[in-house]
Amino acid sequence: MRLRTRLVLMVGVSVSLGIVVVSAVLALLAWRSILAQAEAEGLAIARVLAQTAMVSEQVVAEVGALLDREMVAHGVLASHLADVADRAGLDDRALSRRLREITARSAIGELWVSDATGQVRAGSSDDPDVAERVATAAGLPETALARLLAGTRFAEPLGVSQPPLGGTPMRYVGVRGIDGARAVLVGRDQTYISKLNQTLGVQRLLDALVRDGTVAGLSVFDHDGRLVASSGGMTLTPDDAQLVQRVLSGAPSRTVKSGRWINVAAAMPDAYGVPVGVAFARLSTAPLDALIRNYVWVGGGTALVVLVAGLLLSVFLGRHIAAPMMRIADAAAAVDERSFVHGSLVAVARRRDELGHLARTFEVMAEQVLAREEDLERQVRERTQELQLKNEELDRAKRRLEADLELARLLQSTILPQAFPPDRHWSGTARMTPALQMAGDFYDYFTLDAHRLGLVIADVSGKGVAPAFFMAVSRSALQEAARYNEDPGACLTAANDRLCEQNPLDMFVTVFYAVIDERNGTVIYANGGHNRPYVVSADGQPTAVPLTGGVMLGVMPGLPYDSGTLTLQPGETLFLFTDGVSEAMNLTEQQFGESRLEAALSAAATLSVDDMLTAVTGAVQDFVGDAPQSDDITCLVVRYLGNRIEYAPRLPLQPA
Amino acid sequence: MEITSKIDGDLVQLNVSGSIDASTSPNVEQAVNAAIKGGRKRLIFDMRQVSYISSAGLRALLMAAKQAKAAGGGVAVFGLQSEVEEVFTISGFGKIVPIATSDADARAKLGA
Repeated sequence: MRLRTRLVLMVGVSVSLGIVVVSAVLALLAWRSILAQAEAEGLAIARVLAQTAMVSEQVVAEVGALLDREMVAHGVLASHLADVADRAGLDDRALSRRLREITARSAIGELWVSDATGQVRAGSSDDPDVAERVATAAGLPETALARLLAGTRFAEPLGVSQPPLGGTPMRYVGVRGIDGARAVLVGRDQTYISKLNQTLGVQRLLDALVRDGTVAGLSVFDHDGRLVASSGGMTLTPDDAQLVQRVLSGAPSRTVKSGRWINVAAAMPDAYGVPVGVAFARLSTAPLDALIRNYVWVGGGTALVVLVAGLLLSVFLGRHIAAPMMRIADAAAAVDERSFVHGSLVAVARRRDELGHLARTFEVMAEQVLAREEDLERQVRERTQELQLKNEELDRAKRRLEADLELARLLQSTILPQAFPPDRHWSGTARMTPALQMAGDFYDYFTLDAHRLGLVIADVSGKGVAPAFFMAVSRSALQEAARYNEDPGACLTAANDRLCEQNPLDMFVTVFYAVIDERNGTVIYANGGHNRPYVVSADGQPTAVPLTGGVMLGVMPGLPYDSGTLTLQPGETLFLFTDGVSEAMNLTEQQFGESRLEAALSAAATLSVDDMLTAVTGAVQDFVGDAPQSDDITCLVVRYLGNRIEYAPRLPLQPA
Repeated sequence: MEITSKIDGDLVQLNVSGSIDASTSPNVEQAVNAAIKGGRKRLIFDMRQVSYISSAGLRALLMAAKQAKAAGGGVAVFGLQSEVEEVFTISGFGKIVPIATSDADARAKLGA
């Protein structure tokens, strides 16, 4: 992941996390504050209700008292009127008429005047029944007038009476007569007070609050848990009842959220703070939900804005931080590609932070690296040039050496005798096939006198220039020794001593030297450690020439070399060879060996010496196949044809 | 090819195995040089495990013989396989380096 991406992710995740945590905390706080608010609202309502109830009760009581006083005044007046009527001798009918007139022109609804026993004497009604009791006419209990008639009270409120046959309830006040022999009853329509009570009372407040929408429902209970007033058509669940009960039993207030509602129960204190009841308010959670929704919207929106801003900021910061690093990375790549330009990091290096430090360090390092590389390259160039010169020199030397070697090879081949000396007593041929490296095989033949021919085949140990030289040395040593020593054994003895004298490299040479006499086919030979040649009869029977016990030449001076003798019959062939023939190896590292050589010789016995040689070397070549030739292959073949001079007279074509 | 040596006073027995040819003879020469430098002057070559010897191998033995002789000792070989013995016979090398029939015979031939 790229650094910039990581930075953006980091900021994004931390911002989101922060927003979630803050939102959760805010939501919790909001929830709690909303509940607290609901509870406070419930409490406020309860208090207001308590106050209102108290005030309206007082007002109604006050108004009632005022009315009662006004009614008492009317009663006193009516009492005086009745007394005046008595004194003026006015009859009861006239009094009733006066009373009727008073009620018609005032707020007083009824006026009754009784006699001393409480019987109706006059009344404001259309036709007062004198047989009736005043208490009965007002719908009051008979005892209501007892104290007035007894004269123990002057005036007394008598409460409200519901007329037995329906109609408006009446409020009554009784006044004792002036002379004490009667009671006056004043009645007034109670509807006014009831209306006032309704206007000022708790119920109206409850209805107003519910109508207002602040609360969904309100109920007021007295201190015994009895329902006093209720509004909003609420039905209380058992849980709600329990809530009310708990506040009644001492808790100041209680708030419970239940479904769509928040229920608040709060104690209603009187003027002295003593609980007189419980207000139960049911508030809708809609405002709460709206508030929460608001929080979510505002919070979510804010979060989104903050997140986007944070991401933008982190992208910007990421670019701000990553860009210099990318520039340093580019510079590193440039160093690797050798395209680093001095000063390409100046902008980053100028910074005062860690990146600036890194850039400065990197610049120094890059310059050092480049300088070192240049130095190395220069050195490599120099060394390459030197090497090239050396190589050219070596190449020249090698070519010179090769040319020299080629020349040496040519010379080596030219020092071998080219053509066999022509003689009718024998036919002979020789061939050396040199290996790739210069080696030391050689053959030689030379006439010793008119009848004898010297034959040499030799093999110098080792390969290379030194054996090649030693071969030349050996050849001349043998030729010289042959000139002074008739016997081949003596010749090898002399040659060995000579070679031991001038053999600083401890080389040695195997030599087979034979002297063949044309007159009788006698072959005197000496073998200095060379492989045994073959005598191949005319019918193809190969016989190895016995050893003479001689050691290779050049090993030790003073060694004796014995000679051996054999006689060639006419047609017999002497086949001399080096170990390049018998030890020729094929690819499976098998040697050609003596048995194969003998077979090849048998097969080629009837061929001319040239063809015989070709056949044998061909057999070797066939056997070797693709294996490289590791040693010189050298053969010398001489076939004795017989003494023609001796046989000449016997030839039929020979003239006698 | 492998060469192991067994030292006994001024005598060392070199057990050679494999072919002694142009490519392996330098190992023989090295072993011989080390033995001579270490004060050994009588060298015995155990040839029982040698299957082939070329002229380069013979030269290595010759050098060994010369060095040992110069040091006042000598060289002997024993346990020649038939092919190797034939090479010794043909080359006349047996006259330069005594061919013994056994370890003890070789020691006897070197006067040890």
